[in-house]
Amino acid sequence: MIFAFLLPALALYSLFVLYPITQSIRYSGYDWNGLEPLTDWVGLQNFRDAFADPLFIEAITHNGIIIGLSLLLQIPFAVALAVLLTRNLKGRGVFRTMYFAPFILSEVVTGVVWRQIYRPDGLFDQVLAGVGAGDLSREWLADPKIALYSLFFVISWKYFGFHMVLILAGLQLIPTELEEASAIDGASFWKGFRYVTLPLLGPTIRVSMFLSIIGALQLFDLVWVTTKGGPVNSTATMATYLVDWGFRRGQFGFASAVSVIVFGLSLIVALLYQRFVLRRDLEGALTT
Amino acid sequence: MKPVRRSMAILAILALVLAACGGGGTGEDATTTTGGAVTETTAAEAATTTAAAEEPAEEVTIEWWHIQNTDPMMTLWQDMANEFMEANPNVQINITVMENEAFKAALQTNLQAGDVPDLFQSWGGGGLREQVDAGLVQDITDASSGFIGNLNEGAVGLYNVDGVQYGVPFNLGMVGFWYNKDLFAQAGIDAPPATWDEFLDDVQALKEAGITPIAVGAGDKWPAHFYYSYLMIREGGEAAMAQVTETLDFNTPEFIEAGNQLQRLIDMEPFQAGFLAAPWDAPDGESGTIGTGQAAISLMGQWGPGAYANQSGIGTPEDPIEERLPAEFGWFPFPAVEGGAGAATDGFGGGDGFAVGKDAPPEAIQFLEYITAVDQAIRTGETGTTLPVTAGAEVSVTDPLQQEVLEGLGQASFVQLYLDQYFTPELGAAVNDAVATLFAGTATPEEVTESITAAAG
Repeated sequence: MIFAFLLPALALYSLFVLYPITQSIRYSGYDWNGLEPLTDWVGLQNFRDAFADPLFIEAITHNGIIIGLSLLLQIPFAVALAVLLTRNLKGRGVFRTMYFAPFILSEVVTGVVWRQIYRPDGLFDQVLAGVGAGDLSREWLADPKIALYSLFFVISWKYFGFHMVLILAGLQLIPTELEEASAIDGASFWKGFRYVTLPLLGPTIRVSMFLSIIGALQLFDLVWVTTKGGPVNSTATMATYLVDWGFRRGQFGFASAVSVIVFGLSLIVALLYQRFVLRRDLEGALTT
Repeated sequence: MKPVRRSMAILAILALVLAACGGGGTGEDATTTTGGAVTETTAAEAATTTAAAEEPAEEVTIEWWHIQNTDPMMTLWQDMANEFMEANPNVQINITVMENEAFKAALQTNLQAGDVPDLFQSWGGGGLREQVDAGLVQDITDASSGFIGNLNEGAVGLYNVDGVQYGVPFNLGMVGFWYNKDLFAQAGIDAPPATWDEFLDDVQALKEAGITPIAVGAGDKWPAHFYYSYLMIREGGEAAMAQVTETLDFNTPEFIEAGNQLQRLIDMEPFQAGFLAAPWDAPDGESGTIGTGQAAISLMGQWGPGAYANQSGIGTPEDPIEERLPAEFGWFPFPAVEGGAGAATDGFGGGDGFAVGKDAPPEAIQFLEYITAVDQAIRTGETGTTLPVTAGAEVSVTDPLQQEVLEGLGQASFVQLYLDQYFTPELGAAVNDAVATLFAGTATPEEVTESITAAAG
């Protein structure tokens, strides 16, 4: 009987998740413009075309770059800030709120605001000129060589606060006795951090990294609002590539194939990560 | 009140999503509820069903989707619908107004569900052809024969696929150069250029005077494709455009030469800072740059001045457009290209019209006749935002800038439809993307024609 209570949720889940996914998989085998009946079965040709398209490979690379940079720069930065803000700092509540604030903005608002900040002779350029670094001014979103990194900066700006809060929570779970004990034993701040805090923070950081990776794989809104994947595909991600082929070119069969690929890639990454990185955490271990 | 309204909204959303998921090319029946009116449609029904004479004189509902989402046109369409409903009490017209991009996405969803609006915005061309092939639009050749002769032949032709009429135009414009006369005077240019070489000289003169010569919204891509398309038409003329429609082979000497000529312009670096990321209509876009007098020239359609005025920050929307521009503006047609096969009067543009959905009642076509009749066409022309296509309605265009466009259009013996509308959406996007790479300097003219041809294959 108790299962009856699951039915409404299950029905909605089937209708809005399972059914569209199976439909996507079905469409992915057709050459289909979204209007005509599904007749032109092409098998795996859409998948071959996708992997043969240098622009799709480029889009995957961009997702990879964002993942790499997030793990290398954004997470360590968030850890550093969190450690700083657990100390007895004056006004640390204010700082925590301030750093967390960008995360509350919607992606679209963030995109629109940063578009204006980055525009030629916009706020960013004027600040640079104001501190005497006007030479560093670039066409932040219009130069294909740097547009992706400009976007990465915005992504980090928006999400570092979120990771910081996660890690703050993780830090609060660490018993102060352990840190005090290491201090009494003569460990310097760095040694205490390296051998006590960081290992105990491991599970939190790994979850943080996981969310960061998944977020980067699905990156869409912010890119679409600021650059639509341009100029000349320099900021295209898998998701913008997919929307471009579906809704701009009307190639829904091909776009479905791309969506299946994106789904598959994300699934593989998620499973591998859980299997190899999160396994011990999931089993309840506290350290690495 | 509140919870009820919310649950209504959720129901409406559910209905929409269901409509999107259903149908889906499976040929099943789909029933959708929109705005209270229930329409039953059968996706498998043949295109040529003249839904006529099924239930005459009974209550009929016309679902009308248009994209004139700003006044004065939005109100004018509503007025005309009300007048028509008053004269025909059995007709109910439900209007859905959407912004351009939102309309395209919503229409796509409805078309996939087989729930075709009775009248909907169409630009003709390759998009309409796909709808014809899918049997989503109605053959109105006979039903419209009584009044379509009063409309501009070129505009009517945009809604004609293989000799069959599927829609009716109400607006036809042409792309040309809008320029800021003050900035031209500052650079010592006294007359608009007549040839491409003169145009390049003027660009050089503007640059030397410290003025940004051109604003282009290359981030949106289609404003950039205007340059390439016009050069294709000037180099190849009507014959080359007819040929490429047939062969879809863009690797011809004329089109490569068009790329070379455009390359000459791009090499002069005449565009505003950040043009590769600039959209058409935004404060940091093409319209904003021109509207604030920061660049002198913009290659755009008849809607250009309205958009510049909206971005200028001068006056209020009620003021006439000329008073809200940062300077006196002028218009000149795309100049002639030496050695090109195309005539200097050949035009490039397009318009707006309404395609008739497969299940539309005959009253929908009567309504099209009503709104394109000369009296109504004059009212659209008087708004200053529309160039009516009905014979006798030209007098309503009193805006001096629009009159210049109308004059250019009058001289054109051949008007090529926007390439991104003319071809299928897929090929249109490929043209736009390839031209953007030329603007970004990441492709040569030969690579441009090759990548377009590859996408066409």
